Amino acid sequence: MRCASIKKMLIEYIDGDLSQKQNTSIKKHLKECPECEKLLEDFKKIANSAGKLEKHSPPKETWGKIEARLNSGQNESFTPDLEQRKWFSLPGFRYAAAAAGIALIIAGAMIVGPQYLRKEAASADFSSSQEYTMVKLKEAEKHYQQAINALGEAVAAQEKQFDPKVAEVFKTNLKIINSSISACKQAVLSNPENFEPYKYLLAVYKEKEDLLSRIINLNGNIPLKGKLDTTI
Amino acid sequence: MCEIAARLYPIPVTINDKNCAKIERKREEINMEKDKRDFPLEWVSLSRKGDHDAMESLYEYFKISFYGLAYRYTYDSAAAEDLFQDIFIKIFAHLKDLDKDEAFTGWAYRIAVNTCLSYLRHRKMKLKKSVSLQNVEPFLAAEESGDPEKLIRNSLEEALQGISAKLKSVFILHDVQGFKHKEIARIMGCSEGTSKSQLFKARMKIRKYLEIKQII
Repeated sequence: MRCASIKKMLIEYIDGDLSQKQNTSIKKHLKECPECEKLLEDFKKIANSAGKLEKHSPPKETWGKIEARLNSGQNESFTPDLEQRKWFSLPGFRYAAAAAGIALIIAGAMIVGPQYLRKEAASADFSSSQEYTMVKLKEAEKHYQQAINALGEAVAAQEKQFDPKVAEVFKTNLKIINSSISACKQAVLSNPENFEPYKYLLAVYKEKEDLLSRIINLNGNIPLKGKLDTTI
Repeated sequence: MCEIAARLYPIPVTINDKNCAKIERKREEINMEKDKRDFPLEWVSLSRKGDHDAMESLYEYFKISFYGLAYRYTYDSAAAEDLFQDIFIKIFAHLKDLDKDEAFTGWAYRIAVNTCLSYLRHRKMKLKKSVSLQNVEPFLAAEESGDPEKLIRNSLEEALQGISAKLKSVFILHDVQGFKHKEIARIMGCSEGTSKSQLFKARMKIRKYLEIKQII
């Protein structure tokens, strides 16, 4: 057998997938050909080391994030268009719009303008652009909280006008969003230096703000039953 | 093995070599449909019904494999986590499309690999020109300690960053995760022969890298 034929069969030879006759031929060739023998040894070494490569684990909070996405029906991919995700749109409620708009600008800057942030960070005496990013994300969070609080008050004022079916759907969605916020907050707390969880938190705040805006724009005739939990 | 095959298929046939080979082939075909991994299949059916405990169990069972896959396609923890999340979102969102619970593993891996390949195609990720400190530290420690096994593993990770996505897929599935070529062919949607030749090419490229580094 020639070296080329042997090389073609080496993968199957290592896996033990060849017939006895083929195995014998290969063994005979290997005894006579140090080059093929070396190749076999190297392949075995590579395969053996590959099987012992480090087992990487996802961060502990990842399941919470997946569950939150499943619950909120956010089935579209983060990847490949991670940077192009449209998190933000204009709200209907005036004050909330202003507050959320500020949050939008800040949070948007976190995503699309890191190069500008680095320049600004230098002039603002922050020790690093990451620190500056974190400060801005916290600012965005504050504005979202203001917007949501304002919308929450408006919802409470109008709750008697909501259709019960709409109210039920609204309550369910609100519950899911609130649990998502809790999951994201936990992620933020366990990774205080990482601003990625903050982005997710802001995205969920945006969802809540959108939901509250939509319910306000609806006019029903039958009152809601029970007090809504619109707090954040 | 013939006796086992005969027990599995109590057909009134004379067990000679020819029949034995047939039985073996049949057994392999059937096993292809089954999961080589050992987990309760009810997790799959319950997950399809939206049972979050079952979904979490599947997640716990596959998280190391899928995260390892995502990590080695990107070598970037943040990108790997996004990819990893997408893999599970797609799996649970499309679980209703899976005909046989027994085929879950291969089906889920197909989603995982396709998600990673699609991401790489879109992002046109190139081999990193620089390596982060986090990635360098274990290599330096290995070189200092003179642990040859650790050194080869670290060099292998470096070599993997430099090979094409398709070669990497076959290498990871076969050599890292222990799949057979028949299973890889199903996951990748290629022939067994292609899987074998891709593995050969991948090992050759890795070997060349290790030779340059004088590891082997």
